[in-house]
Amino acid sequence: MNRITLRKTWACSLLCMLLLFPLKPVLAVESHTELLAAGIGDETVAVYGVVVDKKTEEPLIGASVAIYKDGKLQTGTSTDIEGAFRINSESKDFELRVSFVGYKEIRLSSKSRKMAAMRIELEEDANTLGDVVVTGFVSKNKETFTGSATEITGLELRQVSGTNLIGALSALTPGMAMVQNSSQGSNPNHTPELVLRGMSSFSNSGQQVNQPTIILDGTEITMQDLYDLDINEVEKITVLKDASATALYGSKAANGVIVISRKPILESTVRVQYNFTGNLQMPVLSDYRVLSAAEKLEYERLAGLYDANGDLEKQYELDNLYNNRYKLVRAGLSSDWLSQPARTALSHDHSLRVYGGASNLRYELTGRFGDTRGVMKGDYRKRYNVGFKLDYYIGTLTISNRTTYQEINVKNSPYGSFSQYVKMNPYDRIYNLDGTLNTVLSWDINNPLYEATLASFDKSGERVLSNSTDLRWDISKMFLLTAHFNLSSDMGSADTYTSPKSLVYKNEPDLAKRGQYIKGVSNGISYNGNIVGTFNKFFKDESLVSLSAGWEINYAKSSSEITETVGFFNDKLSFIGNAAAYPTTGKPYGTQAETADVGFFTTGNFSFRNRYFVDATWRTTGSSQFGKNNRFGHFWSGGLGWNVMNEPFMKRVKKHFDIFKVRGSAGYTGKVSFSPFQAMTMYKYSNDYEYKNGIGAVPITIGNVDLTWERTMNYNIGLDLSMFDRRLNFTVDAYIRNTTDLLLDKAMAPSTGTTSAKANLGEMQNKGIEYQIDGYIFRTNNFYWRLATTGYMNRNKITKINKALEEINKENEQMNSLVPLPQYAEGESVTALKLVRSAGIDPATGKEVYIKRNGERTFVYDPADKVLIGDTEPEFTATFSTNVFWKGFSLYALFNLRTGAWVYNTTRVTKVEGANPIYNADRRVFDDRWKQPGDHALYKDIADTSRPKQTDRFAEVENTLSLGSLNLSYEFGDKLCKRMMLRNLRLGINFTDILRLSTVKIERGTDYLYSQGFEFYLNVTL
Amino acid sequence: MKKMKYIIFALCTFAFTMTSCEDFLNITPDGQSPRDEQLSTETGIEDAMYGVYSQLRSESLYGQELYLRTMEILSQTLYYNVEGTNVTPISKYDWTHSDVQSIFEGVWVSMYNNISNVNSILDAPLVANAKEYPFTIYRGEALGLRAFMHFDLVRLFAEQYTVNPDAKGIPYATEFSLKTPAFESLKENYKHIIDDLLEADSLLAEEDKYENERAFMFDRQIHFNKYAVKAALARVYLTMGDKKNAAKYAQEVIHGEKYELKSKTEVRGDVAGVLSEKECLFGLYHKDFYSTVSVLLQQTVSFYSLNLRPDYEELYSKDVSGDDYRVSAYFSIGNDDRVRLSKFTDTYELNNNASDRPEQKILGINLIRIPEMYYIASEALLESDYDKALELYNTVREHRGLDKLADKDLTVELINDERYKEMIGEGQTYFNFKRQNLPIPSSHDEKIIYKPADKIYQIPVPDIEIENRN
Repeated sequence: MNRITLRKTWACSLLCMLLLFPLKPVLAVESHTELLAAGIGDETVAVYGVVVDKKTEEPLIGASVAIYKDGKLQTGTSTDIEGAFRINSESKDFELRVSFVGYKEIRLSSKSRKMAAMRIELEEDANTLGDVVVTGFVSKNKETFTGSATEITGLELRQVSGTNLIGALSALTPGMAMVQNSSQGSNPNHTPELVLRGMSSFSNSGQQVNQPTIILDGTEITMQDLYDLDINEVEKITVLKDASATALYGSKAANGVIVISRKPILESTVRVQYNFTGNLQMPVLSDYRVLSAAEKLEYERLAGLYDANGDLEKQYELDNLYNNRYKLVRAGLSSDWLSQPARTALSHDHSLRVYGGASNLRYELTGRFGDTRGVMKGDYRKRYNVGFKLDYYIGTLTISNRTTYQEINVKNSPYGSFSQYVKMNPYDRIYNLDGTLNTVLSWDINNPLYEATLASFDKSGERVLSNSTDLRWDISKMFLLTAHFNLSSDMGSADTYTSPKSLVYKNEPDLAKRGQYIKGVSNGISYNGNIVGTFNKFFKDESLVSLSAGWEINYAKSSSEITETVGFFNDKLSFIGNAAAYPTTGKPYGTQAETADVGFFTTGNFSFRNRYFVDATWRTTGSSQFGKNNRFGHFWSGGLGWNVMNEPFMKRVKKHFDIFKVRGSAGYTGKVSFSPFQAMTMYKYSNDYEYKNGIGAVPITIGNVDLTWERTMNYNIGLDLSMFDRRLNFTVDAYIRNTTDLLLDKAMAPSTGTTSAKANLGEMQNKGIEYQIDGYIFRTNNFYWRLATTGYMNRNKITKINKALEEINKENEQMNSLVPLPQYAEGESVTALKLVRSAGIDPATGKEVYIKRNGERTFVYDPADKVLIGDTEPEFTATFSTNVFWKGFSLYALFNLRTGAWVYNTTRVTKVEGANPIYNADRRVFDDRWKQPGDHALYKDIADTSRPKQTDRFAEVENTLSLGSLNLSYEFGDKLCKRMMLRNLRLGINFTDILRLSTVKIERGTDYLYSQGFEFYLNVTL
Repeated sequence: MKKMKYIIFALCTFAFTMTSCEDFLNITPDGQSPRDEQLSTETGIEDAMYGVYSQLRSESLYGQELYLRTMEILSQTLYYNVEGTNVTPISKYDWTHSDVQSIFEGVWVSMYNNISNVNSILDAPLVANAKEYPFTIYRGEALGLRAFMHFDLVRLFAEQYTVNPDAKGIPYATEFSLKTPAFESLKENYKHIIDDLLEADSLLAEEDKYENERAFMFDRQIHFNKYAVKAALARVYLTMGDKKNAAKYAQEVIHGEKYELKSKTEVRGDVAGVLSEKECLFGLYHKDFYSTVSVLLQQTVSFYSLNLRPDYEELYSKDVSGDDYRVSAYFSIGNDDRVRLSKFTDTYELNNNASDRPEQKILGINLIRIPEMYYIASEALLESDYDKALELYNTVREHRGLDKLADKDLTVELINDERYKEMIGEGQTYFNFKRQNLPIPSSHDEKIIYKPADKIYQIPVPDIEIENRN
C-alpha cells in the first residue's frame, strides 16, 4: 500500500504542476473488485472479472469474452467501460476465451482455475496491428482490403534506430529507397530523400519530384517535417503503395503515400513517459586511403613536379624545395589533415510525455529537446517541441484538439567541404611550431582551417505552430462521420555571414565590399480540412458493405525574402546593421507561392461472405495550379480480392492458416509539378518595363491552358499469407506503374512567341516485385527467435520522350562534368549510366584508346560514342533481420544488401588517374601506371594530370552488405519495475552502420563525412 | 429523427461548399496577375502596352542590334576590324557564322515574343471589339505595332518584294496561343501588314482629340500614334514598289501639321539620346540608352567600340554646296583622334550634368523621323511629278544648311545620298539598299564591294524556328 501511495503522490504532484484534472480514473481502479462480487444461482456458474492490458494495466474496453464447450461457442459478452465483464455458464466444465483486437487471445479452462473475480491480463500482439488499414481519410477493413500497404509499428522503427526515422522507415519498407547522396554523407542538416517504387518524373537535381506524400495525423507534412519528427511519438506508419491504397489521395498519390499516426491517449491515471537517446558517432575515415607524407613526395617527384626540363636555375630551386621537404618527411612530419574537421560527436535527445484522463476527458502533454551534432566540427541541429492534446468524449462524439509548437535551429559546420582536407599534403604543417595556423603551404594551397577560425557562419531556423482538431461522430452502428481541420503557420530564417577576412576577398581591393551577410526570412500559412462520412453494414453471412464519401480542402501560402549586404569591417562584428552597403547590382529578392486545392472522393468496399471482395475509389481534385480547361483531375481505382482461406475446399487445412488472400488492383493516380504561371498566362510587373508615363507589364510566358495532371496507371497483384498462428507471414507484390502525360519542357518554334512551354509529353514505366517474409523459429512466452527479410527489384524504363529532352541530352553530353550527366533515351532507365567504351591504355603511346559505336578504335574522345553500361540503381535490394528475445533481453540485427548498382568511380577518376600531383591522392595512384613504351598498364602516365574522359574503365558494379543496426535492449520485469516504483523501464544500446562491405573502393562523403557509432537509450514510464 | 436533421444539415453545408470552390481555386500570388484580369481594365491594358513598348528597346531589337549596331555594320557604316568579336562576320555577311546566327536568332525570338505580347492585348475582348475611345486607341496602337514588327522581320528574313514578289515570307502571328503560325508567301505578309496598318489608321484617326486626356495620351511620340501609322504605310508601300500610295501617306504626314522639319540651327543635339521634338514621328522612351551609345559609339577604348567608315566626310561634301550642319552635329573626334559617330550621344550625360537637360526632352530612340517622309515622297513622285519631288528634296536640304540642288537633275542616287547622310546610324540604310538591290561598298576596304549576288540580302530564317516547327 505504501508503494502505491508513493507512486500516486509522485503522479499527483506532477499532475498538479501541470494542470488540475479530474482524478476520477485514479479512484476508479480501486473500485473494480467490489463491484464484481455478487451472488449467483446454483445451476449456473458465474464468471466475472476484469480484463486489462498486461503492460500498461489499462482496462480494456470492449474485449470479447466467450464461453466454449467442446470447441463450440456457448455464450459471450464484452467488457464494459471499466474493463469488467460478467457472464453465466450453463456448465461447470468449459473454456473461457478472451480476445481483443491487437492482443493475443487467452484461453482458460475452468478445470485449471477459479472463474470468479479474475484479473485477466492480455498481452499486446506485436504481429497484429489491429484489423484496419489506416489510409488517412478512412480506415479500411484489413481482411477485405485489396491494396498494397506496408505497416510498421513505432516499436519496430525504434528497434532499427532511435533517432533516424527516415532510415528506419526505408529499411523496413520493401520498395522504398533512401536516395544515395554520397556527397552529403551523414550530415545531420541534410534532409534525406525517399523514392517509392521507382522514379516517375525526370529530374536533373534531386528527387523532390519523386517524393511520396507524407500525412501526419490527417495533415500533409514535408520531408523535412518528417525528418524532424520525434520517433518516440510514432504509433504506426502505413506506407500506401498501389492505386487501391492511394487513390483517395488522387493527385498527390503518384509517388505513394506515407501515413503516420501518433500515439492515442489511453484512459489511465496520470502517466509520465520519458525517453532518452544518446548518440555517439565517430567519423568514418577508412574510405579515404590517402598517401603518407613520404609517398606523396615520391608521387610528386614521379609526376615531374621537381623537373625543370633543363632550366638550370629553376632546377636548382626545385631541388632545394624537394630537399627541404624530404628533410621534413624524414624527420617524421606527417600531418593528419583528415582528422582536422572531424570529431566524435555526442548527441542527445530527450522526450517527455505526460498523459492520462478519464473516459470522457483525456489529456496529453509532450515535450522534446534534441541536440544532434554531426561528425564535422561546429555543426548542430537543435529541435525543440512542445505539444498539448485534449480528447473529449461526449456520448457518440469524440473531439480532440492538438497544438504543437516546434522550433529547429540549425548551424552548418564552418569547416567547409570535407574534400578540401582530403587533398591537403601531409608534409605541410597544419600549425606552425608556435601554435599559430600555418598559412604558407606548399604549391600556394590555402589552409582550409583558416576559414574555420573566422567568425563566418551559416545558420538557419524554423518555428512552426500548428493546431488540429479532429471530430468523430458515431452516429449509429452503421454511420460514422469524421472531420479534421488543421491550421499551421511557420516562420523561417536563414543567415549567412562571410567574414571580411575570408580568402574569398583576397582579390577585392575595396574594403567596403569585403564581407557579406545574407539574411533570409520566410513565412507560411496553411490550412487543410476534410469531412468524411462512412457507412458500414455487416450481414449475418459475414458479408460487408462499406461506403465512404468525403470532401477535402487544402490551402497554402508562403513567401520568402532575401536581403544581401556587403562590407563588414571587423571579423567579429557580424550584425547586419553594420553592413556598409547593398551589393552594386543587388536588390532584395524572394519567392512566393500560393496554392489551393479541393477534392471530393468516394470509396466503397464490398465483401461477399468474407471470401470475395471488391474495392472501388473515385477521386476528383481541383487545383489552383491549372488553367480553367483542366482545373479538375479525375482519378480512380478498382480492386479485387479473394480470401482463399474461407473457401470450402480449404476447410481441412484452414486451421493452419490465419490469412490466405490473393488481391489485385488497378487505377490512376496523379501529381502536379509545375508553377501556376505555366498553365495560366500571368502578367508580371517590373521596373525594367518602365515607360515614362507608367510601368509596363509583360506575360511571364504563354500559359499552356491544356496542361493536365501527370497520371500514373498502377497495376498491382499481391498475395498475403499467414500461417501457423501467425508464426510464418509472407507477402509478395508485383506491380507495373505506367506514368503518362509527364510534364516536360517542349521546345517551341519562336514564332509562337516563346521558345519553350511545358507540355504533357513523356511516358515512363516502373515495374517490380517486392516481398516480405518473417517467421518465428521459436516462440514461447519468455523466449522467441524471429527472422525476417524484405526485398525488392524495380526496373525503370522511359517509354516516350521528346525533342526537348534530346536538347538536354546534347547539353549534358558536351558538359565535361565529373560524374556523367543523364542521357535520356527511350527504352532505357532514367538512371542509366552511359559511357564511351575504352580499349585500355595504348602500350606504345600511353594514351587511352576509345572504342567508337561502330567498333572502330580511336584516340579521339567523342561523347557521342557513349553506350549503355548499366543502371546506377541497384538490381536487387534486400534487408535481413533477426530478433532474439529472452526474458526481457532482446537482440536485433538488421543487414542491408544492395547488388548490381553501377557506379562511376570518381575517386579513381580524380584521385588515381586524373589526380593533380600538387594535391594528395588515393594510394592507388602508383598502381599500374604507364611509364614507357611497351608497358601494358591500367592507368595513364603518372605525369599526365588531365582528368580522364568518361569511359567504362571507371565503371564498376557495386555490391554492398552492411550491418545497418545491431540493437541490444533489456526490458525490466514487472516485479523489478515495481520495486523501483516504475511501471516500465527499458534500456538499450544500438550500433548503427558498424560494418560495411563493398566491392567498390570509393571515397564516400566528399562534402560531409559518413559516421558510425551507437545509440544508447532509456525508456521510462512512471 | 434528430440525427437525420444533422445529416441533412451536413449535406447542405457540403453542397454549399461545392459551389464556392471555383472561387477558392482562383488564386494568384501577389505581384502577378492573370491575363484575364490584367486585360479587363483600362489601366491593365495600358500597362500591358507599356510592357510591349519597353520590350522593343531590348538589346536584341531596337535598343541595339536593329538600330545602331548590327544594322549599321551591315550597311558598312560602322565596323571594328578585330578578330574575336562578331563584328567581322557580320560585316562579311557570313550568315553561317554562329555569332551572326545567334544575333539573328535573338532578333527573331525577341520580336516574335513581343508580337505575342501584342497579340495578347489584341485578343482581349475589350480590345478585340473596340468601338470607342480609349479602346480604339489601344487597338490602333497594337495593330500598328504588330505590322511594324512583322514588317522589319520581313525586310530582314525575306527577299525584297520588288525583286521576287513570289518569294517565301515569314509567319504572320495574329493569335495569342501556343499554336505555331504558318509561313506565308511574301504577298500574304504584305497584305497582312497593310491590312493591320490601314485598320490602325482608321482607329487612330480621332487620336488628336484626346491628347493629354490621360497619362496614356501624353507624349504621343513614344506611342505608335497615327502619324507613325501613316509613316509606316509610306515605308511599306515604297518597299512594295507602290509609289502612289507611298507618296500619298508620306505627304499626309508632311501636311499633318503636327510635326515639321527642324531648322538647321536646331540640328545639333536634336537626336542626341532624346526624341526630336519636331521631327520624331515614333520613338521609344529609353532612359538608359546612353549606356549603350557610350560603349558602342562614343568610347574608343571599349572592346565593343565601333568605328565610323573613314570616307564619311567625302559623302557629306560630294555634290553639294553650303554648310551641312549635320557634320558637326553628328560626328566628333574622340580620344586618339578617332572619329566617333556621336549623333546619339547625350552630351548632358557625357558632361555629367544631366540635371541641366531641358525637362520636356524625352530620352529615347528615334525610330521614324519626318525627313524620311520627304525622301519617300520625293522618290515616289520623281517620275510622276518631278517638280514636286525636287521641291520636297530641296526642303530637307535647306533645313540642313545646304543649298538647293543646282545644275543637276534630281536622281534616286541623290535622294539615297541625302537619306544616308540624314539617317546615318538609325538602322535604315541597309533596308534602303536592299529595297533597291544595291551593292554595298565595304566600310574599310576600298577594293571590296559586296554585291547582291553575294547573298548579302538573304539572311536565313534561324534554325531554331525551322527545327522546332511541327
